[in-house]
Amino acid sequence: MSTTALQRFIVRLQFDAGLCRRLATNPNNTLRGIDLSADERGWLLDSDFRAYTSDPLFAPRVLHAIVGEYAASSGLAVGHSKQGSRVLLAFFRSERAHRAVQGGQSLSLAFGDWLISRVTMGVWSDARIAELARLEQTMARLRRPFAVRGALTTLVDTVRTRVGTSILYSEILDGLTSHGDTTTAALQGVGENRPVARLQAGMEWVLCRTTYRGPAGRQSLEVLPDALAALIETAASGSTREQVLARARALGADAGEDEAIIADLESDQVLAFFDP
Amino acid sequence: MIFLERVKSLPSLGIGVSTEYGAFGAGDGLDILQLRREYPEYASFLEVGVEVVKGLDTDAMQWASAGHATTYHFLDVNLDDPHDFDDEWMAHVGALVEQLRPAWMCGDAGMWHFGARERGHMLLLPPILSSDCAKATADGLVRLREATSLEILPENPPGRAFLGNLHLLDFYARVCEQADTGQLLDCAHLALYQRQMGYGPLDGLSDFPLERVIELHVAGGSVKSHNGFEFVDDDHSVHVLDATWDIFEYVVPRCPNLKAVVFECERNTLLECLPGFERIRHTLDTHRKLAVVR
Repeated sequence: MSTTALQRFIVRLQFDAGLCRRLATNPNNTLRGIDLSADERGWLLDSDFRAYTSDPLFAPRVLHAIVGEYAASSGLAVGHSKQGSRVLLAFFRSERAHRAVQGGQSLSLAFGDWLISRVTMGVWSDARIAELARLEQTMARLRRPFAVRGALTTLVDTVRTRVGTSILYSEILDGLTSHGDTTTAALQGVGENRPVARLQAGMEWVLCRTTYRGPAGRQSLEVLPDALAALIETAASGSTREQVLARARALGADAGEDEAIIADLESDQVLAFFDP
Repeated sequence: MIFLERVKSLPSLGIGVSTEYGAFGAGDGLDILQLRREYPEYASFLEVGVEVVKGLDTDAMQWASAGHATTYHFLDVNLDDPHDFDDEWMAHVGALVEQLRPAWMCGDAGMWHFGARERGHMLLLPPILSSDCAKATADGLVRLREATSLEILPENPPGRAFLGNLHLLDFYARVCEQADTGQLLDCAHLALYQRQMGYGPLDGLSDFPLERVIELHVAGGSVKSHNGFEFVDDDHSVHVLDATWDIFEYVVPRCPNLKAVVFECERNTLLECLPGFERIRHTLDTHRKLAVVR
């Protein structure tokens, strides 16, 4: 039998002292749904739970790596908090983090979900944190081997955010980078002494690009005009080349112009069709 | 050919030091070139800790390009997980092996990450000490050996909680036998395991197949306490615990195929490291092991 479930549960114990306490006081409830053999359960319950919380830097080390991908949204969240960067450590106690670890999912992408949910649930009032997190999560996805959407190439993805989000992102990043290490600066927070732009009403589509689908890719952002965004989303939904051409014409492209637009998107490595 | 035949073609590397990306450049870290210049017998080879996502730092590249001996210490593969040997990782490993030309690969046979290999997931937990996990680890070792054409030596990792029904030495004896490979025995990690579990430093060693031990590690550690829970922090300081020396001095004369010893002291100054190197050299000389080639 695989010991993966047990090993992942141990990781969760190291992230969350509360889980250790719950395991001690109510093992049946705490282990419900975890696929452990009777032996594995016995080994776990016989162990000294204090061992799992003996490294106070376990979660902060992981947080440092994650914040590298969420510098703008994290910086803003920390800047609003009197607790400083500790406000982000709450992530490791969240249901979303536990689910990611136990399921072997990306903790970084789960962190993006968590940032967004803090705003959605009203824990944080600054909506910019969620918008930035949405943008940074899309970029984080581009560093990983996820399945692409429809006819999008592996080098791009799109995200719909409030108008001004990509400008705000660049503004915060520039400020953080000017302070040396971006991650360290983000963990110190983007505060009132570093005012940043407000978002505007309405939504916009942003095209996220990477030079390489992986951790080493260089990424860039581009706000899309509405018609072009609609066309790209049609392609992303799984439409054929013919259907995308028809959509281009419906959006106002002249005869011949539709082909040129699609050809440009293909040569620009935004779209790739493999129609028979 | 069985491992105990194959081992005859492995080079004898002597005493070396280990590094990870950027380790030598950190603060008062060891100057590997100075060590090589002033005490070449303590820098016969460099054990390069590698995460493929980071690659090699300047020190490691310069060392390798100068033609000095290396070993490749992986920091990013869970040997017991068949999904961890993806094509992209294997391709990176192959390229790095080309650069380093290591005598062999080695690394802690534990849990380096959970889920997919990605930033933020790096940790190092010991394996679950069970026969199933030993089998899965052995399978991974064979797979990596066949892919790289290098010997792959599992190392016993550190930890603060060891789960399973096998003694750690029994676990690695099974791994070595099932994969038909050699062992990198980390004396400091073994000492902290023995202490954690309430065993004496040498318990279990008489039954371990020491003829499979190819490489030994020695490193300092600090005894710490957390809510009354005492543990050894494997901090790679130069303060080597007595139990670690006890293990090292017990196994050296009993390892007929010993090829290499690493003193893991990369974050300390040369002056601080010298007594440790001297004690290692003295023990090896006493038992006529790994003679210095001048």
